[in-house]
Amino acid sequence: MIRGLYTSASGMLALQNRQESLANNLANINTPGFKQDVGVMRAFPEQLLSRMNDHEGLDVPGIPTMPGQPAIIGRLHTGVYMSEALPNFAQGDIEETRNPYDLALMDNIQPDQNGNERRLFYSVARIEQANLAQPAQQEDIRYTRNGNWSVNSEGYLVTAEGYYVLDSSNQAIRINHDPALGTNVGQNLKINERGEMMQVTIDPITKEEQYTALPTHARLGLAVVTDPQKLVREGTNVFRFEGDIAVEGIDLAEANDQAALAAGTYNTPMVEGRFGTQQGWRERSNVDPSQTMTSMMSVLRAYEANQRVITTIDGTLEKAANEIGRVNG
Amino acid sequence: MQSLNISTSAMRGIQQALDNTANNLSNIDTIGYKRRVASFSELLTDSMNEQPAADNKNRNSPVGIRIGSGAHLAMTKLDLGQGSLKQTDVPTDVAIEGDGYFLVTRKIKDANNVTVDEESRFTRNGSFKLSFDQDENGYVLHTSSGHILTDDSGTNIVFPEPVKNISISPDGAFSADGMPAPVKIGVWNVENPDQLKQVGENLFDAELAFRAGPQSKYTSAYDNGVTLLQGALESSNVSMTEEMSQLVNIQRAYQLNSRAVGISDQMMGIANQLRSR
Repeated sequence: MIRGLYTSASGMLALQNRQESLANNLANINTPGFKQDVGVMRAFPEQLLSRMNDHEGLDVPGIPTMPGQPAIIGRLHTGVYMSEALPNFAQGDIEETRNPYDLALMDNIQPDQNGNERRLFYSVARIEQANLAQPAQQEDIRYTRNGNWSVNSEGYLVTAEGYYVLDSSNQAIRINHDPALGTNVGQNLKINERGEMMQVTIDPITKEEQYTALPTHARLGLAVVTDPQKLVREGTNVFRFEGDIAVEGIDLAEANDQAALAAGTYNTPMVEGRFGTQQGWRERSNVDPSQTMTSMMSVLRAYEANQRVITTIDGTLEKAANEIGRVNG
Repeated sequence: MQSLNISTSAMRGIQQALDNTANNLSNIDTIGYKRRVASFSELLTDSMNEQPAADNKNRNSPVGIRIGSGAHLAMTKLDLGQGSLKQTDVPTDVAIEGDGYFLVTRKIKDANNVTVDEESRFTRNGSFKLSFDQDENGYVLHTSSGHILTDDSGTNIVFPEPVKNISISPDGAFSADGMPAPVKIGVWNVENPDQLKQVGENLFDAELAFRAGPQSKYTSAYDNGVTLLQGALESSNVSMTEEMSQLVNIQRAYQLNSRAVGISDQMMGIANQLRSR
């Protein structure tokens, strides 16, 4: 059969996948911390075409005909497929919500010494009720950029999907009803730009705000993920880690940073001072609506063009089937 | 084609966010109303159409292509910001400055007029009226929904006769002419107001068992620096500009997603015309 039919059909299929990916980006235009996926198209493996039973034909320039071998015409790709959807981890805009449980994460962490991209995430986990007192298991930990949290009925800080927000020792953060806290922190929770958690109290006499560190939760569980492209997107705003470079907690990343600075390995800090959390704000989705819409329109037209190719080839085939060989035509 | 479902799920969520904005806007003049903020979330993501192994060498991300399934409205969070105070000079109007709630109750009776249950509700609406109540056999302060204001131990505040020259001090002491002893208006601290069920009429369900005092579950808010202001009311914390810009944002998101539905539909149409001649 004519190869072009399959080539165009594969094009239509790939474009359909791309449209789904674009539609999902657009659907999440208001999802806090959403990172858009960019569809990557790739050609099918290359083939060499040759003329069968034809030794006397003209040489194709650059490709000489071998005696006794079929004449080579040239290379051909038989279509296209969507090979992957790469997330774009660029920082989204931040917007103010004035809610104490909303936290925007901004980062400008530099690539590591091997040039790998590094991104900062909150670590969250789904934990069984009975295991809440222990640190979360490594396999349960997920990473998210969505800092749109609330407090559940047991007083734990949770995401909208029910994942527990973790501190730097992978422990679920409890800000109400925690026996170790003595009093309930609740709305008086204060998270500074380094992710350190404190309780705000107002001095009854001087009316000044006083900050006391939470005894059980020193710091938010920020995670430095090297090569974030290897993260598996699980949906519901979380990523699962399946890469080969271990995830570093923020404390460790900063310690390594300090050690390297002291040793003179590099001159400027790559982690410390290059990120910040902003309480009462949230990070918006980084989907660009105009770019997504334009891509959708070009997908539509390309899809249409592929369909036209199929109909044209079909017309050719029709001629072959119905007209060639007809007597008295 | 999955993209139709993806866009539809987002449109459904956006419509609910629009409902939320409309409700905020309609309560722009409701005393003590707290606005809600819509928050979206991603739906599940699927990894499908696993590619041949040869492909894995050339790629950065995990195997398969990811197809998301859209977005939904995950929650509407209560914005507990203080509303602006409005001077009314009505002696029975009280505004709470700081985080705290009045506890108001209403008796629920059966056909024989016997009290079977009592509703305990929290409110920030400090617009009270003084009138005679049959059950209490005295004058009570009640809200427009008929719930009676309680004191710092959770019992209804009742006066034997109509009181005059009412004065309410910042620490909640209620005194008036012809009153033997001042009563203290109860203001309660709720650790996690997000968890309170909103029951309409500007009230939150305090979730107290019948005849259980509020002390069993809540602490007095006066310790946290809360003060009362007589002759003033707390306006709703809805800001017109904020809601309008949210409205524009939502409408554009809806339009974009409906365009996506349109484009997906055209693509399906194109696929249908493959053999139409």
